[in-house]
Amino acid sequence: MSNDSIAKTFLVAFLLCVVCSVLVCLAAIVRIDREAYNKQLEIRKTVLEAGGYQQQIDDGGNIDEIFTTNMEMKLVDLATGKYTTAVDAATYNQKEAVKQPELSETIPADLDLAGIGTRAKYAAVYLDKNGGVVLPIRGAGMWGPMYGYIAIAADGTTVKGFTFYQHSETPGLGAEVDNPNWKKQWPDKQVFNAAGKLALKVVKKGKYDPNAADAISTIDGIAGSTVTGSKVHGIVRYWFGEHGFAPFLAKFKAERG
Amino acid sequence: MAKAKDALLDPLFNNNPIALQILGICSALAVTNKMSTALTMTVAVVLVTACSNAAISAIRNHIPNSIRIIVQMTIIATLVIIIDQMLKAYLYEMSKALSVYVGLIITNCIVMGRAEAYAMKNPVGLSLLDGIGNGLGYGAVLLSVGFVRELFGSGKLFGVTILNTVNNGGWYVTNGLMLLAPSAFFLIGFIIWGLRTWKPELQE
Amino acid sequence: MSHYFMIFFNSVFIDNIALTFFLGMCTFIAVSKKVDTAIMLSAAVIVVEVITVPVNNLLYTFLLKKGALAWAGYPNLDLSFLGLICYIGVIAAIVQILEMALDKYFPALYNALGIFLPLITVNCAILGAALFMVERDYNVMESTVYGAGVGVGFGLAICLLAGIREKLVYSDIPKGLRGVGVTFIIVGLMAMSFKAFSGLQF
Repeated sequence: MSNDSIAKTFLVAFLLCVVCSVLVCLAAIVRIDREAYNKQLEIRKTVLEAGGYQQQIDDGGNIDEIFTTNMEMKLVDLATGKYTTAVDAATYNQKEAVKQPELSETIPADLDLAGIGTRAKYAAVYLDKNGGVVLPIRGAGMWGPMYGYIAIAADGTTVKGFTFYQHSETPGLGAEVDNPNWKKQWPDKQVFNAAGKLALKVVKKGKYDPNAADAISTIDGIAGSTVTGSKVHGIVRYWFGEHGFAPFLAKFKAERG
Repeated sequence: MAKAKDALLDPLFNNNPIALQILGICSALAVTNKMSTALTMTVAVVLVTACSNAAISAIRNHIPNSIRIIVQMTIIATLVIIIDQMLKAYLYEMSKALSVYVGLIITNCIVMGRAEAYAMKNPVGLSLLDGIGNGLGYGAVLLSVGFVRELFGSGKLFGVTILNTVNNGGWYVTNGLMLLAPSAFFLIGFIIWGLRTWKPELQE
Repeated sequence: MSHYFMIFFNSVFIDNIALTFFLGMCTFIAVSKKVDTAIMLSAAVIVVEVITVPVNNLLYTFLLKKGALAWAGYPNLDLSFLGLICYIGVIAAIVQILEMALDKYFPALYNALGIFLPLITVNCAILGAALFMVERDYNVMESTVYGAGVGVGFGLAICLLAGIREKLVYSDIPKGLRGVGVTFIIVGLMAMSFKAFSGLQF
């Protein structure tokens, strides 16, 4: 049969399609299973990192095991600060919920310090069985959205740990938010002051005064990246404000602290 | 034997696809700010060029001329999708770092170029070697750019600290330019300059 | 309105597809020797981007996205892994159709653009724009604007480069650096100057 005959052309095209589609589908089947697991693992890893379990992971601990023994996920209704079972916690996806009108709400422009426009009605928080809670935070960075977790102790005000797991800040400058040396100044800072007012702030690099009265609530900024520093400041100001986790943390403190 | 050696080694220096034929630089530069991403990209491209060359060469006598390009494209796209999916499954963090650039191997001119220029005319064994050679030639440039960018940009190699940076209390002030796009262009320019000074017959 | 302007402005200057994302480099270097040809190529790229990005967007939203096939009774089907092969197919087909249409109705334009159109099928800037559109979750309107922005950005960069290279003919450059070598250095300098746009915030 000649190579350029119509029959041969169709035959080659058909066989090629069959072989290629089988290969592609096999690859996709392997990926679909693994990817769901990978995504879950990534979240668990960041939650544990923020919650202060990094050492156990570094020591070779199994992430799933450490997570299930120490953490419990619960949904919080941000408006009331109470736990909710309005949606199924196992399938709830906070990132997707932001895009769905019935699961999200618009943030009034004057309160929108994090620059996100809308937020999900329900937040997935991780209760640490040894006391404390890990809260999801997000906001606009310099180049794109930043997603992270911040861990608060059982007293509802002391920071236990802080980390971003997704951002697109400038490498070498804003991306220093990932630098462990910068992150290590977060633990033991106080979110609220003695009067119960929101006090946590991120100042410009070098403006941090260790002897100031509010030093316990102040984070020194990032060298060479004033913008990223002020974005992080906006993110914490929003998420610990009245529109964020403040109602929840008040209830959490009364219950656990 | 000499032919096999040529097929494998020629693309590395004498006929390097990036430095001399100016093919496939698109994705080459964006993934070079770390050695680990550059290495993963190299492996992915070597696999795609080698497998696509071998597969196309194996069926070269049966490909109708009228659908030649689309047949090559389908085979290449299949291989790229498989690699993309496998990265997502087993090297999740790496696949996030490489983002769309793995997918862009499809439009990488090296792969199509070798399929059309070499694999359509040569036996399977030689085509395979030619594919590996061209992939490695591409990788050589990628890794040398990655080496300079990661070492001087963040003081590390494969994520291991080599030069202790000021941010971590060391002495090395990082060169921020190395982490940004323009440095990759300069480095490729210098590599071409070096290669052509070493082998004057390649000059324009 | 300002939202669309931002997408456009971003993709032309700040996220310039050639100078920041390194896409479309092969054509970028190869077809930038003369300003005339560079202008022709930019026109072709803009047209193809404006058509293919929204078409791929529709394809993604109504066929490939997770849950997109809910109307056919498959609410959990996720075909996004077929994205790559679909986009490249759409691009090849549209370029082909465009070529035939131009040949029939605008022969003068076809003669001018003719040789550049097939080149564009394998231009990573086109496929790259489709992939970035999916990654950033644009809708149809946004992706049209984005496509136009990417095309204009690529065109701007290649015309500027061609202008510089025309003048470069008169310079005395070290032998090893002549041709592509020095072109890369120039592109690097251009990329640096485009970085200056990144400080702009709206």
